[in-house]
Amino acid sequence: MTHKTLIPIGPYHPLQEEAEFFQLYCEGETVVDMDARISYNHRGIEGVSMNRTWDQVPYVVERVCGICSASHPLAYVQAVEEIAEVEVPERALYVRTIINELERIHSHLLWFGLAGHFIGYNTVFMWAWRYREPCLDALEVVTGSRINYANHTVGGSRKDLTPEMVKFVGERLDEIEGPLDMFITTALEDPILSLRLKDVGVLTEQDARALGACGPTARASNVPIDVRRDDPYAAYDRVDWDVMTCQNGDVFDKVVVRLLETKEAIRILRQALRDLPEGPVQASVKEVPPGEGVGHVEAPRGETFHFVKSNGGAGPERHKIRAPSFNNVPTFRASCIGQPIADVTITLASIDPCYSCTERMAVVADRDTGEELMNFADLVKLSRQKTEEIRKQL
Amino acid sequence: MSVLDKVKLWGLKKSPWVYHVNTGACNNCDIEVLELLTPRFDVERLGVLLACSPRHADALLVTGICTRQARPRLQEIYRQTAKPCLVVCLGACACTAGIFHDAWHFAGPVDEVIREVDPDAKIIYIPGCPPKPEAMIAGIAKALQDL
Amino acid sequence: MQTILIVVAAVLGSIVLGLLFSWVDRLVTARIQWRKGPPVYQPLADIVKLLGKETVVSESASLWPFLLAPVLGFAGVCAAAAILWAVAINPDASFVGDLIVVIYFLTFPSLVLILGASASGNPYGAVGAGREMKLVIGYELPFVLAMVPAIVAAGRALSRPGFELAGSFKLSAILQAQQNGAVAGSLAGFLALLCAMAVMQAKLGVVPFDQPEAETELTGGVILEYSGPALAMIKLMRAMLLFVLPLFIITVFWGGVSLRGWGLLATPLKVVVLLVVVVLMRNTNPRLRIEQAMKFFWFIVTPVAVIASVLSAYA
Ligand code: SF4
Repeated sequence: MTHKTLIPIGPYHPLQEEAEFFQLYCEGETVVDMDARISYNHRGIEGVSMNRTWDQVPYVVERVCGICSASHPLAYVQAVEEIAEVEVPERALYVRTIINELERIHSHLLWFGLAGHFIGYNTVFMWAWRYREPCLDALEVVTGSRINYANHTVGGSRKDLTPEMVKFVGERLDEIEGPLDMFITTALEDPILSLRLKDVGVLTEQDARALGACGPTARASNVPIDVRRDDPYAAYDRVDWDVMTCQNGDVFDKVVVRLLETKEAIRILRQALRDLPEGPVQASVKEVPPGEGVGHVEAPRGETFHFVKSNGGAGPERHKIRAPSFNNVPTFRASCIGQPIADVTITLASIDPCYSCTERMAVVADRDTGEELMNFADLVKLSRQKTEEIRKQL
Repeated sequence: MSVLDKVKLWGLKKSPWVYHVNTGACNNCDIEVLELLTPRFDVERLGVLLACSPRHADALLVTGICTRQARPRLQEIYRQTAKPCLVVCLGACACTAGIFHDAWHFAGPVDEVIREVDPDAKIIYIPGCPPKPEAMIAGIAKALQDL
Repeated sequence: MQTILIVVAAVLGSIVLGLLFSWVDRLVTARIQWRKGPPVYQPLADIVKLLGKETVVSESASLWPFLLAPVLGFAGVCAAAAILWAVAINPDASFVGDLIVVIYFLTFPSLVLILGASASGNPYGAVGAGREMKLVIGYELPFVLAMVPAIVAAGRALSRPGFELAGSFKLSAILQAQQNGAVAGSLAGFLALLCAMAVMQAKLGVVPFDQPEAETELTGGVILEYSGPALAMIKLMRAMLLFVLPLFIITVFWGGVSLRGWGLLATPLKVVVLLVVVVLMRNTNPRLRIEQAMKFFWFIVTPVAVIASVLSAYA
């Protein structure tokens, strides 16, 4: 009988900035099974946002996850705009595109740096983050803040881009375009990097489809899904760009897909900055009638989805958020089992998981009193009892 | 103050290693913490290193509201940290819970949670959502000055 | 009396130079990464601070092995440093077999880390200890094999035209044999030097061979549970190794240390070259997986070391 060790990753582990908890069941250095526990970061944002007014909610959902702080508000405002049937001005659509693509560049570079850090390649970490700075500068100039942009509002955009800003963003793009080419060459050609990342944590196309992966995780496994193309929002149908895919689904391909997407984002940005139409950036929204609306946005990590229900009041009656990591986390089991521990960390990191997005709680409660009836341990007991009973019957 | 104490204090001031605890943050504060290590801000020139275990840490950087799940763990981490150690409440969330003050999973402000374990804990607050990296450096520098 | 003086000087000198070197390491790393880097007193400040903190020992740890390990490792490195310095200052201080003794002392740091980590009662520590063990198994053989060209050269020099075995295990004999040309000057010696440098990287526990620590996988692995003075000991041990290992390699392969005439310039230069190689290697490589590292040592470094030994016999 082989000896199994239980290795906890987390809840506090420097692998991710966030608290999460994976239990790896290992034989020697090989992982034979794993289990994920979440909810250390659960804050109940859906609940918070149902206590806010229509205009306040974007600022709350922006804090679902810091890195996607342009995607969540955009998905939300699109949902509300659907209910209120607002015609968003053309210029606002372009501004939204610009901010979301800048966010994509900063997020992908951030991830690339962290991936380097996880495999002990700190030089990559520092260099990637250094080239990310111009992008943050551009965002700071455009929106006023490095990270939480607070720019999307129902009916348009809070701030307009002045010609100086357009010029500034263009210059920052020039600054990072060169290094980015260098990075892609390094990633594709560095022999040790490919030794370390190729054929590691493979997610097959079949698994990716079956588990419903989305975003770069799916695209690296040759599943070409992208909300920006499949159901265009903002100004994505007005610019020329391509969906990037790779064939193998290993960690290396996930790096490649993200880097190519970053280049693509620069392409989109250049067109958007060039074609920025004149006009207002804010349509007036008087009230939100009762109804239901859905908004989805291709966040850097995949599709983020917001459902909003209105009863005609001052704020949403129900607000449901589904972040991309929620789809991508289950792929861990497909890609991690059978890997050595050293590869698990980079595989876990490769979907660029975002736990603060994903966290949720399951509570079995009494409908009238709201009292908690069962917790996780009880549920396990229940399920074991059932197994026992079935066994007895046999 | 004896010479020995002075030397100890010098060491503490010149080499604060930080351990980063996320008790339910939105990630922005965490990113900005990592940002501190990178070329533009490079806090290593001040001796600050990101420690990989609370055992090696001199300061806990706590980000995020303290959720119910995180609360006992934060207390445990504080107990595990080699004293003397500072606690830095980073960001509006950790200082006051900010925008999440009425979230149902919020289990008490970070400072109260820490004080339950150690009433004389040294706690410093760096507000902002997220605080700019410059503000973080300024906050930590000030805290070290008053040690 | 003189011996005691030399030992004290050796230990203090190694500490000071080691701390200085670890600063250089951090500075060069920072510069490669577009950063400014820490001030020169930084490693000292780290040690002073750690000495002033409490040592937390977890309940699951076995106290004595856990606390004794860093002390033993520190002592081992001190002993190696003392022998190397003594020989460098006064070749007559060399004794038969001191080469082997130094090699032995240089394995101390890895052994005590295995001991300490296993005693720490932490699962990450256990995995880290396992990895350290695998690494030791990987690199010790080529390290010893790499010494052969130097020993052979010394044996030849001692008793032309024959070969004397016992005397050639002396560091002073190796030094003497290098008076008209370093061991590394020959092909065999050069190959051996390359092997020894690869092993040095692993012995220092830096990327690409930092699997036992791997802060993003094992959160510090072998040193995870240490805090306060015990951690200071380990850090000090590492810093000293950063100086002692290059010193050892220079003594064996590169004409040794001399503080007279040109040597005053050449010796620091040699050390700096070795140090820079270590730093560059560490910054331009990701961490290997443990089995990749073992494969590297067994299937690349060991055969090269064997070839070097065989070549040296025919030179
Ligand atoms: S303070 Fe703001 S940026 Fe920081 S964790 Fe809280 S919501 Fe996020």
